[in-house]
Amino acid sequence: MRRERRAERRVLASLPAALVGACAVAALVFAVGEADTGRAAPPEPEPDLELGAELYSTQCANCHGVDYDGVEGRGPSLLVEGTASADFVLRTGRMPLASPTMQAQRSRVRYSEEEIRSLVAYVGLIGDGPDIPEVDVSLGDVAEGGELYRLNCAACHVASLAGAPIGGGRQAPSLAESTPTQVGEAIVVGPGAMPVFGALELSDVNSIAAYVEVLNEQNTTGTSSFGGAGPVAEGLAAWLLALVPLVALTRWIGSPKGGRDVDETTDQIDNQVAGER
Amino acid sequence: MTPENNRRAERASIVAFVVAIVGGLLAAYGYWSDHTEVWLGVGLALALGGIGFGLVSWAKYLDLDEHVVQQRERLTTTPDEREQFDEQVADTQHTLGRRPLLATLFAGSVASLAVGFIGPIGSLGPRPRGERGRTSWAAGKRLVTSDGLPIAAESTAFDQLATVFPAGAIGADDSQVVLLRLRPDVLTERTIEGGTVAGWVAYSKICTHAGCSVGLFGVDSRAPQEIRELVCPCHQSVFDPADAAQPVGGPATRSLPQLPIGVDAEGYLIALGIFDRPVGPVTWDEA
Amino acid sequence: MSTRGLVERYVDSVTSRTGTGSWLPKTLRKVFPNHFSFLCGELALYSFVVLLLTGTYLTFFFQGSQQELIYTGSYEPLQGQQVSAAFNSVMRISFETKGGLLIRQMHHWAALIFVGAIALHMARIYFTGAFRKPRDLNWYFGLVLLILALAAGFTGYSLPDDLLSGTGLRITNAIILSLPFVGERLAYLVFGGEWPGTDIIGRLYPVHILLIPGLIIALLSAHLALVWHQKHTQFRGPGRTESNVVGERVWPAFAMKSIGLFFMVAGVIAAMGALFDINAIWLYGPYDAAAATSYAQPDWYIGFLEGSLRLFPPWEIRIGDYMINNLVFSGVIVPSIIFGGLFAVPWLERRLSGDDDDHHLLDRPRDTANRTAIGVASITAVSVLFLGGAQDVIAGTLNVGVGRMNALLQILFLIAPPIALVIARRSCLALQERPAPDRTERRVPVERTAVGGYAEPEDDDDWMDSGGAAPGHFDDITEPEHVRGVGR
Repeated sequence: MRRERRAERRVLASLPAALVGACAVAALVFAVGEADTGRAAPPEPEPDLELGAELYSTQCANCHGVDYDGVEGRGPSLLVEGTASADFVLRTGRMPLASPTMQAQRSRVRYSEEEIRSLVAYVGLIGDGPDIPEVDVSLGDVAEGGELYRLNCAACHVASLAGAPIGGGRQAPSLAESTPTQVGEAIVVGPGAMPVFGALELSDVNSIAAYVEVLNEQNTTGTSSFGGAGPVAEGLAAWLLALVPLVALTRWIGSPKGGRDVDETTDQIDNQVAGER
Repeated sequence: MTPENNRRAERASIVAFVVAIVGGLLAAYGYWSDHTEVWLGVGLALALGGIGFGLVSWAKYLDLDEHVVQQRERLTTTPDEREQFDEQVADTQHTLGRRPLLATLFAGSVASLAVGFIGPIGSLGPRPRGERGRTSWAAGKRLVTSDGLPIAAESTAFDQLATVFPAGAIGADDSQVVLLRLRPDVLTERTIEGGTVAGWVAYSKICTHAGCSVGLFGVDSRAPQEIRELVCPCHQSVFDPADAAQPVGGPATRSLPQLPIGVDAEGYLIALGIFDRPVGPVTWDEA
Repeated sequence: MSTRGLVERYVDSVTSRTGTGSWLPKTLRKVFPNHFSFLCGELALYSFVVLLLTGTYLTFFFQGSQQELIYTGSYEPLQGQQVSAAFNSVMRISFETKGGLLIRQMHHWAALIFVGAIALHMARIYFTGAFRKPRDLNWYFGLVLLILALAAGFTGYSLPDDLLSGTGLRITNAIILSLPFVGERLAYLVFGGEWPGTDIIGRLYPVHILLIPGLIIALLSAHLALVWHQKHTQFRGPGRTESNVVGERVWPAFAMKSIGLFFMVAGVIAAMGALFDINAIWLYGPYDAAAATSYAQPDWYIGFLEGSLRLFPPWEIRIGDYMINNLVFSGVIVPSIIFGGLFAVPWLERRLSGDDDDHHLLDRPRDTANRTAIGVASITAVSVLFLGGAQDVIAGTLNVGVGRMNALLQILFLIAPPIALVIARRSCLALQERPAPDRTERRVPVERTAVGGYAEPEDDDDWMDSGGAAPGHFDDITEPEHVRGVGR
């Protein structure tokens, strides 16, 4: 398929790019890209509510309160949250948060699969929020998802999935590592600064998640497209990767060859000029 | 230049031209390969770059480099030339200038010809007849998503966002509306007067600055205060959705027009009226 | 020579029919001075040639029409979407035409490089004083060429009718709309009615491929003819005077290097097109007024205007029912000041230096501290505007708030130019204290430069020695100190 070809094209692009000296960066980014294959269905250990309760009281209650209704200035109430929120923040490493004033960002996942399942199930019992949507990208319509993405999501997350600042010092994250389920959870929960897209139905969510997955397969935030940062990055590339080398070439073309030598040369020219006068 | 340098330079040119030949062949192969864009491009780059490098090193190192003095030619007009031209002007005044009426009429006829061509310019676009002041909204029209689904006023979640259109005019450029659901207690008095339902509030999605879609909505619930912002991604104009979408940052000077909304008998959101002014960027007499 | 070769005989058959027998060898012997910075204009010229070649190829596929149709091409994530014929044809170039994407990307990269090379070329002309009489005329030609290049770039950016194209046109529409008296009528004329209408792409197409390139070719011809006729400027050095040119003859050395440079420029552009994505319209999708994407910027060279729109405070002047819209300031007046300033450069130089002579020897930037400082300050101000146009990308990269970044850049716009002015001026004065560089020239092939150089017979006219006719020609200035003075 054409799309696969484009994806291969990018891999291929790294070979000559290495020649022009971008090999280190390219290798790094492609290595990251390769590592991002954790979409396989996870094994399903049974949630252990006792483990969940224990984890909650030791890891979460400090900010979200022993009564789950939040702690002023530290963390919000979980009574309005459901399994979707819990699953999202735990599986993207957003929780636990180092400090209540910082913006939760994707980071290393701190808990094991069993711990996450247990904690999610526990939060699901106490809270009254949306459950994890059963996202199935195979049921989605990629083109429809693309249209919805550009209408609802691209304003913050960028057409290329790169993510962008949205005012107030907050960032809409890149979706380059988002799984379909996480996309669905974010749409129904509206984590952090994100609004809730309540008007989108599960079929819409499937489509959007499918579109995000397709774009990730295309590696739209990869090196060969400068992280998907659009015309600004392209302009910078035109200067740094094309104009600077071209000016360097003109320096070579326009420089006197063989260094500056032979005093008599100068004399000759001076003599000629003197002769003309 | 020593003979040894010459040999080195010649070798450099030889390599460059050979690379160019290989590049051309690679480009030809690349076209037929499965990765056309990359190998065609790389092949062309090698061919072009090789030719360039070969030519330049040939010129630079193979005894073609030189240092030649040439005199500049005169650019300024001499008094003689000036005088000659002045005489020609004077002659013209004596001949053509003797008939001022003809000259005037000639100029006048050319000018009138230009006037005659103004008409077709007008055909490029119709005369404005207030189209920008009208949208597809009307009292009683349902708010529907791009899929045509109406919005139920009954809802539990706050800080919701949807892009909606009037029923029957999905995708109408001037009728796009950003529909938000905020907690009713954060809405200001004038926002509620503008027509809200249970925290639902609707604004024109077209930025009043330069007309882009005001697509970003962010909630900052971190202490000490909650902030909600509608932001235009084009020039980062910021509007306060809780306060009648007043501009609070960036270059925009006017608030987003608010669409008064209500609920119909089936519990879906409808428009109660229309925007009270043109949406989007405005002309100088629409202050 | 008893037997003449094929080339000689063929050329002779042309020259003896056109009366160019004396013109040709003279032309081939014309001397061009050698300095790398003189090649920036050639970079622009050659990227323009690449633009013409790749652009012509693209016209064989592009359809300048906004007629709506359903996309059925091979790019799955857009199949079934309603797109315009223009967007559809660009998708076809990108996915169905073998090599089409490469040519399209080369065209776009060449455009970015074209304007960049023009900017470098202009900076070189300014800082070395090459815009002075008699080349002030060519400075104006060059400026009009710059404006045409920007127009060509913007219309090209708008043609694919993707989300970014439409967003840019929407902003253009808003700026036209804001003009006092004529705004609304003019916007209707340009766009064929209320935004967005169905005409604009079809109108921009002939403008982009015929009108603007035609004007560029015409003006470029005049620009180059004038360079040729006036002869190139040169830096000071032993043997170099106001009345001569020291360098290489057109044939073979200069021509080979220059043609070589053309191939190098084309090669770099081909490499960029092959290795890097540019303007992935399949991600932006067809223009939809209700859709939006962040990082919605124009191509880099319109960045100053984007920055002006973003950084300008929310001010407007209201007089009764009327107003001078915010966009009039940021979208009309600010760019007018920038280009007005550029047009005023030769006049300002004359006013400030009181020097109305012809100049063929270039200044080193340090020797004209005031001119250099003004240039550096102006470039600093415009650079802040460019940063302003990318303010969200910068804020995203540095992980700070856009509002804070905006305020910082607004302050920077006010304070950075004066600071740059002072630093540049001080640096120039300090550099002037340094000893002049070793200007020793390299070897002259003796057999080619008999006394008198390659002077043509007509170059030996009396005016050379008359002294009165061309005052500037006889300022045999080789010492930089000589030219320091008020206004420099």
